[in-house]
Parts: sequence; C-alpha cells; structure tokens
Amino acid sequence: MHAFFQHLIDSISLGSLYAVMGLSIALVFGIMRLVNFAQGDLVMVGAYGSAFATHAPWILTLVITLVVPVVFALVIERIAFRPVRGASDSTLLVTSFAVSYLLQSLVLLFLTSTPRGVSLAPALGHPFHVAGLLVPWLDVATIGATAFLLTTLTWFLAKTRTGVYMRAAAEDFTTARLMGVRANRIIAIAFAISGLLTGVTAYLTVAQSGQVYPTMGVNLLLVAFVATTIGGLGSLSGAVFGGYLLGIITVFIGAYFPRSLSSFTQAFTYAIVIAILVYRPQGLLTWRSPRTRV
Amino acid sequence: MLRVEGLSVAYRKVPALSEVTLEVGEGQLVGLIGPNGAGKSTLVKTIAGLVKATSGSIVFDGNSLLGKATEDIVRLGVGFVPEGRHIFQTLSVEENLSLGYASGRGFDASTHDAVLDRFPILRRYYRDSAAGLSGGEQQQLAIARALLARPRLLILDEPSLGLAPLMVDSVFEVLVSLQRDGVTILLVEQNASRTVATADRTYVLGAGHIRAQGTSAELLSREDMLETYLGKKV
Ligand SMILES: Nc1ncnc2c1ncn2[C@@H]1O[C@H](COP(=O)(O)OP(=O)(O)O)[C@@H](O)[C@H]1O
Ligand SMILES: [Mg+2]
Repeated sequence: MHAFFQHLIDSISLGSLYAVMGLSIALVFGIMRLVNFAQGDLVMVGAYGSAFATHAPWILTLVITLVVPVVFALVIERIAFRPVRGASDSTLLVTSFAVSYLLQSLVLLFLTSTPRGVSLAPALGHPFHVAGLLVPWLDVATIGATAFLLTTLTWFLAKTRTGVYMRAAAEDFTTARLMGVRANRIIAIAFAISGLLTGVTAYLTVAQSGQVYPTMGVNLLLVAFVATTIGGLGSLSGAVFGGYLLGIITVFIGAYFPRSLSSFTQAFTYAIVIAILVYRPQGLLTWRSPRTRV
Repeated sequence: MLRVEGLSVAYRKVPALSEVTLEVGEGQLVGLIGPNGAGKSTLVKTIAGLVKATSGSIVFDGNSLLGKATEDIVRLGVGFVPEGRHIFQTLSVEENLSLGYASGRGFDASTHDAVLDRFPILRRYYRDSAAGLSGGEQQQLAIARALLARPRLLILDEPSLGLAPLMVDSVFEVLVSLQRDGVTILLVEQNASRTVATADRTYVLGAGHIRAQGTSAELLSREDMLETYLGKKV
C-alpha cells in the first residue's frame, strides 16, 4: 500500500509534465490544425537557456528558461509557419519537422552534442517525509506549477475576451475572422502560450534530469504527442487527461512489471496506447467532428 | 457605398463569376437572387476576402477591398451573416455575441440593449450553449452577432434558408426595420419573390453572370424574369 502511494505521487508528477507538454501541442493544433513537432525542440532551447543562466539568481534563471521558448515560438510562427498557413496537412507537417531539425542542428553547430550538466534549483532535489512517504520537493513543484498553469489557462480561455476569441477560432477559424478576429494575433498568442508551457516543461525537466543535450526534446515530444492523441487531438482537456493517464501507465508498468521484462516497459506502455486508439481512434475525450482549418 | 465592378472569379480555372458589376448605395436594401450554384456565395466570399478574384474591383467607402485580409475588411465596417449561420457551437449565446466586438468597435451598452431588444429570445438563452438553439434562433443569433459590430454595410447570405415560414417572415421584418434604422444591406437569397418585394433594387445572378437588375416593378414587368427566377407562370 505504501509503495502504491509512492508510485501514485511519481505518476502524477510525471503525468503533470506530459500534460503541460501535451497542452502546448493541443493548443497550437486546436487553432492551426498543425502538429508542431518542433515543440520538443523548444523544450531543448529553453533548457539551454537555463544552462546559460544557471549561475544567475534562481528567479532570473527561471524567467530566462520561460522566455526563451516563447521568443523562439513566436519567431518560428512568423518565419516558418505563417508562410505555409492554409497549406495542406503534409506541408505543415514537413515544415514542422524541418524546423525541428533546424533547431537541433543550430545547437549542434554552435554548441556541442555532448550533454551538459546543469544544476537547477538543487534545493528542490531534497525530499521530505509525509506519512511514511518520501516526496521530493521537485514533485511538489511540478504538480503545483501544473495545477496553477491549468487553472490560469482555463480561466483565460473561459473568462477573457481573447480567450473566447481563441476558442471561437479553434472551432471555426474562418467565421472567427469574418467577425473581425485577427488571425495573426490569435495564432501568435497561441504560439506564445504554448512556448510558455514548453518553458515550464524545460525548467522542470532540467531540474529533474540535470542535463541538457540537443535531442532532449525528441522523446518528450513523442510522449506528449501520444498523450494528446489518447485524449483526442485538439481537445485541451483531452491533452491534459491523456498526459496524466500516460504518466500513470508509465510509472505503474515500470513499478509492477517483473524486473526481467523491464526493458520492455516502453513497449507495453505503447501497446496499451495502441489498444486505446483502436478502441477509440478519435481519442478518449473527443466528440467534435473535424472542422475548417486556417 | 459598395461598388463591385467587372468582377471575375474562378475556382481552379472554372469560372464562377464573370464580369459581375453591382452597386449598393448608402441606406439601400439591395437584393441578389439566383438559383443554387449561380455564384451568390462566391460573390459574398470574394467581398469578404475569402476567395481571390481574377479580375475586377471591389470598392467599399473608397477603400479597395481586393487583397485585404478578411478581418481588415470586417474592421472597415462590413458585417457578415454567413451562409449556414456558422454559430459557434462550443460557445454560449453570450460568448457568440461577444464575437461581435472582435471587429474593434468596443462594447456599447445602448447598442447591446437595442440588439437584444430586437431578439428577446437571445436574452432568454443568454448563458446557454448556442448549440441548443433552433435554426431560427441561431439565425437571430448570427444577425445579432453581426449587428453588435455596428456595421455600415450588412451582408447576409441566405438568411431564410431552412427556416419555417413564420421565421422567414420575421427575418424579413428585421431586415426592413434595420434598413429603417439606417443600416445598408446586401441581401443574398434564393427566396426570390420575397427578396424582390422587399429590396429597393435586386440583381439576378445566373451561372456567374448578372442576368437582370431593377426595382421590384421593373423585374415583375419582365415576363422572362417571372418565369425563370420568380417561379411564376405567366
Ligand atoms: N470551394 C469551391 N471550389 C470549387 N468550386 C466551388 C467552390 N465553391 C463553389 N464552387 C462552385 O462555384 C459555383 C458557384 O457556387 P456558389 O457561389 O456557392 O453558388 P450559390 O451560393 O449561388 O449557390 C458552383 O458551381 C459551385 O460548385
Ligand atoms: Mg450560396
């Protein structure tokens, strides 16, 4: 029982990371019908930001880690995605892959491919005891930051005028424009928010793993993409739900699987994911039909 | 106020509009009728900047609209009630109405009240999901949403489509009263006889060409018009 709760905390913490990352993908997809595969590399870019600012006061390091992906997200939107807006799905997809490789190559070119050790917020690495459980402060920070982000984003989308326009644009972009909603601005806001979410992911990931390297975003991207697909692409709550579900599946399979099979845990995780998608190809939390894209 | 001149539009080389010329004067209610596939919606979409023209010009209030982004056209003061209403199903009635303020004209309490007074049903369902509204109610919402932007020109694409006869009556009544309040209107319809009777002037579109134009009396005096477009045996 004790071990179960320990795993539960681990899985919620991991699921939080996946959820935030999934949300950043779903947000852009909702508005542009674009799966931005460069989203993982924005995590990497933010992580390098934190590496360069690691000796600054922690609040400054945090701000830099958050701001760098936002800036990159806005620049990418402006120079890579805006010119192909409204193009076919495959064009958008190829563009996002190209941006992804470009970001990785730039880092390889100007920095190195060897992982760089970074000690972010070492204080968060210490655990504390509660009811016989060992809880790292980092898990608390991860879960807390995620809860805060989800609440704020929900409030923004539900209560602010810009949030309502974003939801309208996500449902029917053309009609939103017919009402005067500025396409460029609403898409830029979506990219900025998703950049911020990747920045948070970057900070928490680096704090956890203690290293940065050019391909560090690739696996995270894959996991987050799977999370959004489980929940239903384009559904924000679905992405969050899928993130937590994937976190739980991953941790519990890792924990309760026989040691001899431990190298297959990923395979089993994705087997479950495939089973879910066979059962519900549209995702668990999707009921909407496909709509117009930009 | 709006002048379309020599406008041609093609979808992948297949012409949809050929040399269309049309004018809507300040304060007028102008009709545009024609059978299914005539190119009516294409004209609306071209004015809205959603479809590219191959040649011709569209001028609104001295501004050329061709090449402008849709949202910028709306921001110049053109309001749209699109074909099929296009209510945001995932938003509430209130949120749908708030899209009326997306065009840059700020919230104005007296306009808001006046529009809701015109469509009391929207007040009743104000906080409910717009998806639950009937077709007629959704059409009222679509018109109200456009009116909140206080457009100088309102363009409606087949607002009576799919509505019960009583609802059709009320849509036409609303348009007449809007015109009385000074709104300039371009009304695109398949309901030809109603439109011709209501509009100051009506254009008849057929296969991408303007076939005829005139006041109700002028059109009704042309036997070919009556038979072909107004569905009346002479
Ligand atoms: N997106 C499109 N692509 C290709 N052809 C189209 C498209 N939209 C309309 N058309 C064609 O253009 C013609 C005019 O259509 P439309 O403007 O919708 O007519 P209306 O609104 O008068 O019914 C039709 O022949 C239609 O098939
Ligand atoms: Mg039409």
